[in-house]
Amino acid sequence: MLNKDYIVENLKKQIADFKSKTETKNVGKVVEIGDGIAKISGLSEIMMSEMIEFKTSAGSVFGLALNLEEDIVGAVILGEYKKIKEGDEVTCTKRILEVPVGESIIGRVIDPLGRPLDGKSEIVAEKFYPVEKVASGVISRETVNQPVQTGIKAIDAMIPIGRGQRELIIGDRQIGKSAIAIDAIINQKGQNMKCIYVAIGQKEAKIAGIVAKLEETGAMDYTTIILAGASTPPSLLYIAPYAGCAMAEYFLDKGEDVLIIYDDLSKHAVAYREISLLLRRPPGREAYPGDIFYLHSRLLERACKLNKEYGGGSITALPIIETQAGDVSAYIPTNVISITDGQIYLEPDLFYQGNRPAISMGISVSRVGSTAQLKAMKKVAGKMKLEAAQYRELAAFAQFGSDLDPETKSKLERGKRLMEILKQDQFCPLPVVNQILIFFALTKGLLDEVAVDKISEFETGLYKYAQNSGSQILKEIMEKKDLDENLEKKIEELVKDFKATL
Amino acid sequence: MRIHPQKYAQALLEILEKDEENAKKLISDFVLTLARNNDLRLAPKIIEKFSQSFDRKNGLAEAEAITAKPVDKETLNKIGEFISKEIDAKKIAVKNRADREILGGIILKYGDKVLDASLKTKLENLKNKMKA
Repeated sequence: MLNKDYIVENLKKQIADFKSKTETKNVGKVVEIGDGIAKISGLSEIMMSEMIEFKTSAGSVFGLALNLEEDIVGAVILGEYKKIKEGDEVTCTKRILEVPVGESIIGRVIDPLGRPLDGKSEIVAEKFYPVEKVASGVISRETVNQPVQTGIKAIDAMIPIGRGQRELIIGDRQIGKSAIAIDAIINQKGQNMKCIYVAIGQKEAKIAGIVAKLEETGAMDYTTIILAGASTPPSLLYIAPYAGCAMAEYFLDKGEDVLIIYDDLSKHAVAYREISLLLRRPPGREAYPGDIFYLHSRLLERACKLNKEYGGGSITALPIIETQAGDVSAYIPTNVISITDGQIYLEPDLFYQGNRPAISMGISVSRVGSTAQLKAMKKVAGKMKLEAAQYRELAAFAQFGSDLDPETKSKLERGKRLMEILKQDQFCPLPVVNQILIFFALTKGLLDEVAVDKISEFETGLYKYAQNSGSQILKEIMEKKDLDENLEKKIEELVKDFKATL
Repeated sequence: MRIHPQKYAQALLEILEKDEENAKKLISDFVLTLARNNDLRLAPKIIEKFSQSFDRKNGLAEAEAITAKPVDKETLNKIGEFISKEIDAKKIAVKNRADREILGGIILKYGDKVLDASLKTKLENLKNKMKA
């Protein structure tokens, strides 16, 4: 058969097979429109958070019903609302808001509704997942038991994060919050982890930079970026983290591990406040609506570690909160601190002293991650957090006097070296085995003779030396994941050998 | 306390049903009550709610049938019967409107429901399906 005939035949078949379903639709009319909010009369059969379709002169626009009142429905418009006019017809779709999920989103930059923003092809969805979903229950969960290696020495050693944990990253603006998250993504290469980065109210230029960096390091092969930029309407900012979580849940259901970053939830709260005030919900503290806590708790509760019977997948969430002038006791920061399993607090003072990443050891904690930490790491870094916190106090105290007893002096010297090791450049995540190596050297006192300003040089030299002449030992550490006496001796010798070459 | 227009309408309907002869006096009393409660501005809403409640109580409803060409009385009656089954009302006042735009078939509008069985929509659905 000729190709042309085939097409015609195919068309004929399609037309003959076509059955148009006629069903009764529930409709309403736009009564009031403005600021991205529509008030609609009618729609007697609408459900909560159902998608609705506005029929405008320039095509249809979708919205989300948020307020169901006695004879009026309040809805936010997902996208351009200028086309909608008073009196336009609105129909129910009988569908809860859903987003496309599947493997095809990996490596893409998309908006919260799954439309491409990177100029590449349309997303071919394998499935649609509802944006709002109840989190996994008690039966399906288990405690966190596998580590997430962020590649950042200060975090992996002292504030360990486990798969399925929710660890808040909190600090002032421009202090390296996103940098920690991006480093964590870069370090997931080859660690069997999918990453989703949800940008809420971020500058598009910043996201373009992040995408370029991730592509350069090869991290885009397992990363999806969901972008709701500063110029997108608040309705999309509001659904962005939920949409990201729905996409993560697809991989969770397949038994895979996902790392999801919400950057940042303070802007998300602000977007929700805007929507709530425009919907005339009563304002509470800092003008946030009454359900602002539930807004974040229901989102973060969806992060979980499932047990073997339920596939064993996990969603690790790293929400980011921006504080104003270091005020962690504002409304949103305290809320999210209480929801998460610990926080990484970034301190401006440390940042400007050059201790970057500027992680404050005193305030940062991880409530569940230590059970997931590698045993080898736990052995070398166990007491380090306390030491680091003590060092800062001691250093401040020692400024006033020069006469110090030898014990204090040695503590100070050790602390100085620790601080030096914890410094780490951006986009340079460090493999965990190297971290174990350097912390081992520090705790055994092998670095005490190295001058403080030579530490970083020593570090890079040691990693190179270990790669070349100690690869067998590195392998053994990763296989055993623990240190026994024999192995400890070998490592000590390795470091001593390297020192001899200096 | 703020009284909802729906409640006013319901109250008015109930007292009027009990005592139909004195309707005139009851209505003027009702208006005086509204004035005393400082709720006169609710009057248009109350009237709307009242006619809605009245229709519902007596099984009355309105519907609109849009067709490509005007249809005869008998068809309209049949349409009325169909709708009365759908929404549980006794008497349906069906208005007919001709609109060549829909090409053929029928669009029924009653309450906040729309039954779209027009040829135009069917063709559009076919177009969308073939595009996909």
